Amino acid sequence: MINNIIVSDRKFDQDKIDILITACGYEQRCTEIAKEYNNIALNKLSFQYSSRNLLNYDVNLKWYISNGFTLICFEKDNSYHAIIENVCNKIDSDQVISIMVDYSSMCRNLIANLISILNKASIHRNLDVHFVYTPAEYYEPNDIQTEILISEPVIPLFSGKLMPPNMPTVALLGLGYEAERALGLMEYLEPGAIRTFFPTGADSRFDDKVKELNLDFFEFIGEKELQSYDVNKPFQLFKQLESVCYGVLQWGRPIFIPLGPKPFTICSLIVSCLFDYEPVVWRVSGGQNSLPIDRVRNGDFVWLSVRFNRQIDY
Amino acid sequence: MNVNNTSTPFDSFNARNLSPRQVSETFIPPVQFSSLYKRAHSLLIGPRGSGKTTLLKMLHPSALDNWNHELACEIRKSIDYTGIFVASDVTWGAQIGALGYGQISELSKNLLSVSAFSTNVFLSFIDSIESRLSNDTNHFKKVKLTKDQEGIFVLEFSSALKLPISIPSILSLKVALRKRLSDIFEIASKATFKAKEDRDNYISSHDFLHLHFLSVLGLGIELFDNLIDENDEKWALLFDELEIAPDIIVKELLKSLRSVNQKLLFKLSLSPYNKNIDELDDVFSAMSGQDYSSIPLWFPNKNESYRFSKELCISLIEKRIGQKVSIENMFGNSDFNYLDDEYTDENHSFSLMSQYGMNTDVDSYKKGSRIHKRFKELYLGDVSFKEYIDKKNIDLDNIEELSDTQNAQYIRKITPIVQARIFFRKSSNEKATSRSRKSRLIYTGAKSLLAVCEGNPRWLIGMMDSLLKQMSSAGTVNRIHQSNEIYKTTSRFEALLRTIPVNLGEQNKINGLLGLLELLGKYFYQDIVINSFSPSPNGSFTINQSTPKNVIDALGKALNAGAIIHIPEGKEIVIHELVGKRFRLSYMLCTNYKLPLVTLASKSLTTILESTNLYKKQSLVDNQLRIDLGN
Repeated sequence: MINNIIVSDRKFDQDKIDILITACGYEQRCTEIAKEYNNIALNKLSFQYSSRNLLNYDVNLKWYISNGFTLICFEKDNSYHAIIENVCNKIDSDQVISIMVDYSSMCRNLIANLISILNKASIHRNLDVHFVYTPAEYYEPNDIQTEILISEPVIPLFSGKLMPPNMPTVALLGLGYEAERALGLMEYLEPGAIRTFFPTGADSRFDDKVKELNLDFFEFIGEKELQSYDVNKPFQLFKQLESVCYGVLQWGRPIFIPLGPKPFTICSLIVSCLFDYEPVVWRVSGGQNSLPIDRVRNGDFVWLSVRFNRQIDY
Repeated sequence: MNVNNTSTPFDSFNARNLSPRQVSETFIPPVQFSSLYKRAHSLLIGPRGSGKTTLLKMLHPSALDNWNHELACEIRKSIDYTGIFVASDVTWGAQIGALGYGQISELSKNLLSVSAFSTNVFLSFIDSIESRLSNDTNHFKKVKLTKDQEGIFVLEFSSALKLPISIPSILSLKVALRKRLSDIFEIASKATFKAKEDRDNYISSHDFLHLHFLSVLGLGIELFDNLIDENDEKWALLFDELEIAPDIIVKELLKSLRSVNQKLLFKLSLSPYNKNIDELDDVFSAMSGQDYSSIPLWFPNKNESYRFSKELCISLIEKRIGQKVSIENMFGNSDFNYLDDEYTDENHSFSLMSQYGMNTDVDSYKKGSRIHKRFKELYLGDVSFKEYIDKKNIDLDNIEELSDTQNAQYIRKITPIVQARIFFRKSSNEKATSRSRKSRLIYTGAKSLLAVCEGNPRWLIGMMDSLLKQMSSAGTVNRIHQSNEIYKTTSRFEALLRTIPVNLGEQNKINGLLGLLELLGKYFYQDIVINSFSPSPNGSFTINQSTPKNVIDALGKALNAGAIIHIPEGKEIVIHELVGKRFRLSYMLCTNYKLPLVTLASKSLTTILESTNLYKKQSLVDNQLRIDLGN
């Protein structure tokens, strides 16, 4: 089987959405996209988290309920696999199914699960998926560095194809707001080489903060192999990652480590899909001790369009 | 140990990403190497960075062949086996663990993961064969195969492997084995698309998954040896990070340590704490020294680590500047006194100290000496210390008049505590964990630098690599640079500890593994530096029966990372039960918590935990896995 994924920066320009998928969290921004596209969505799903009725959560929940979204508790309820498949099955297999995913407030393993479901669904039909992200206004990071509960492939599907362990691992690292986490992860995973991706393009205060929070990392690793990427241009990032990954696969075992803004996560997962899940996508995650931060919309939505064409069995 | 000057830090200090040949370019043999290369089974045990990978890689034929050291020739002569280095790492472990995406039975998962592991062993075997066939420098164990012999080997071995080969060449065999790894992944992946009840049958229908790696490898070895007419030769399987391998393999290999195999030696590396390996008890109950040799790569006592660290350090300097120099001249003297009273009897420790060039001279305490001045300063500024000295009727101006026993008991033993109180109480307005680089000045000087590194070559090489770049034209490295380097190394180590996943329970406010270690550090700092003076303050801990399981698990990870050091009662090397055992914080972490570099009295762990408001007693109940929300 070969994947037939076409990625572009095409904005959404259709008059209906077959499935609109969002997350209902505590951030203000988590209803922004839903509010704009609610009226043209035929099926609406929103993922809830089980225990975070903090900040704007109640207001967001109320909005989602009153607008007819099917609410699914991500951690407890697996039914979304079936719901998405059922919706797909109802639509004529010759039609392209239009799906919009607002991943701004989704956790990384939910995003990975969704991508795996969509990729699986594309075995029998063509999917036109618009991944949309709401950039946030500048916010200060938490002072407290939270404990790590999970450090593993984001979901088993993205654990990467087996390659001999004497080949060097190559970390494709998206830097983020988590102080010293990048350095710690490099010590933990002991990669043979590192390619670092630095997020820019939003508020320049983010850039300064990311630099400040990763000082030890830069001091140790230097700025060799450092590439910047524009958070508002995920298609360009996708092309950067695809190109680097292609090169690395010739001699090493690539591991995407998406810290920082979510567009890096989306692009990592899609590149992994594109290479038939050969690269690993790693996840580190803290627990509930991390302090919630409200993220408020800043600027235009950021689009990444992915066409999952029906897969052909050879 | 490996001393590399490349500019990529993770490569420089870590043999994992270097080929055996690259490792050999800068290898300096530590004392343990002579035990390891003997023609016997070995179990190499040490925390992260202790040099396990380096030592095992050095037994690979291409490393031995390329090695250029004064001992290399002699060691090459005494090694009459071919090493097969079997690599492993965290990512590989996670990948094997994820086969089948959690949607296949344990039985099927075992079948697949053992097969992946076996395929890696076969690839490593081919790698060693290639080294022996190559045309390298020192002709170590070099052999030749004719094209026909190569063809016979490949055809026969691939048939044993149930592996279709298009061209009978070693290269083709290697490519096919790599493809097999992909096949295993694909079988696991395809199985998940099948009905649940059909998955086991589908997976087990692949014949090659049922191969027994030791018997197939044995066949390959026999075949190769036969072709090169070396039927009495031995091969050594060098398994790195054995704990990452599937349980079933670990158990088999540990049992193999007790076997007498005509063709195979087993040299396995493990971390010190392995809670899941019950077989360890059986292995250790075997007659050690006859069946196998166990080789520890860490040092609970700094007297033992000092010799190794000093030799490595001198070699590093010699490599950099082309001549041997005194490390004391380069880095200066240290403030701390280095006597591990508890673990060596007085005479032995004195002889060791003298042997290693440590100061045992009673003159060090004479009136006017630096130490005398420190004692006097504390006497005048610390009421509780004054009370202690007065109660013992010690005249600080005439310490040299004390008998040797009195001196050892009342003065030398407390010197590190006095030094720490003097230095850190001056800045007691700073928090115990303040990250000031200046606070590390007390840990500078040759002996302190070596003590802080605990004989861990990765730390030592990393630090020296950077310090030597800052050497002055007079051949010295100033204390500010040393202090900075300790700070940077500790920061990197802390970053690692912060990243190791642990679950300490929702009801606790302890922030991960580093938070737990910090809690211990603060407790000891309070007892040693802030509380009323005690000649035996608490500076180590014993894990007691009532310690919650999740805390024990976290400390197991800390032990394997080298963050805590086991203080053995007897000769235990590997432990799979932490309860009842005593530990101290690594000296690297002590520099963060402003603690003296010395082993001090022990306190029960739960007493320490319960003394803080971060810990809730109800966490005795195992915690449920918390739901992750990680944005």
